[in-house]
Amino acid sequence: MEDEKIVAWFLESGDQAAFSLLVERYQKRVFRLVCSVLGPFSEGSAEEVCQEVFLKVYKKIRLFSGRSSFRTWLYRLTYNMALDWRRRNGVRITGVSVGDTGAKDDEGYVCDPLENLLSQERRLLVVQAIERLPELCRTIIYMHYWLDSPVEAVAEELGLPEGTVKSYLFRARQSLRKIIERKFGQVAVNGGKK
Amino acid sequence: MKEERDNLELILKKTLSVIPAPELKADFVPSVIERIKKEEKVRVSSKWRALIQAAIYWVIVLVLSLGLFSGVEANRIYLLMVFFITPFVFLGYLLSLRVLRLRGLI
Repeated sequence: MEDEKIVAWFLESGDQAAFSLLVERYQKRVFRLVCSVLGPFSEGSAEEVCQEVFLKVYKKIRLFSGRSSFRTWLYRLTYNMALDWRRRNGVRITGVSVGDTGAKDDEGYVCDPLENLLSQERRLLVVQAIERLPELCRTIIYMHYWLDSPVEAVAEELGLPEGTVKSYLFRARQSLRKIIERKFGQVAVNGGKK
Repeated sequence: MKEERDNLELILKKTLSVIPAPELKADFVPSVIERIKKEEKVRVSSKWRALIQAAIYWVIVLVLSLGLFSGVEANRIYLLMVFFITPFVFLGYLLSLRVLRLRGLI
């Protein structure tokens, strides 16, 4: 059943089964969008923000005018709420939060301690650099590289044309290169090549 | 230029891919519905509370007005005004809250 029909059904009858259907349909996508706005170390808060989003949808669904699709409306609301939460609460990336990701090699063994330490350092540097990007660039980077969303999905969830997402990705990479080079010199980004 | 881009992409992929992607809890939908039910109850009871508060306030204003001014001849018009206008004042207040809420301002 189409989203708009479910919304109409819910508005007519107030039946919570209709609303459950919408939550069930969009919970994962909304959660991923929230996660990409909050960043990789706010999983607990992401679930809370997600609940807030659906609660707000429940209260404001009468305001949905149908000028855009329900999906676009929902994603816009989610993005704004997640961004508000992030601005209010802030996100601090520390060595401890970046360190314990349970990194293992392909065969499931824990990597060499020195290698592990170096990769933790690199992870910390990269995540800190990403955190310094503008909001939209940061969200796109997390969606694309962390959550593995293809450009089309990123574009749909952020309500942007694909070309715009690509250009944001390009700009974000340029800014990241500058930030990382400033800290580690050219070697870090070019892999030792001149 | 392309090689530089590839290196950075590799760094980003390698760095971020080891951070586990988050998972939603299995009971997310029931917990959302549960929370909505709770909020609904609170909202209904707070509406009643506001209405009862408004009624009590109105009665107090009326009683005070009657008590203080009933002896004075010139205030009969004032008493009539209090009697007729206060319901509109409270209705206007509740209506403005509803309008603000509908517009998403509160």
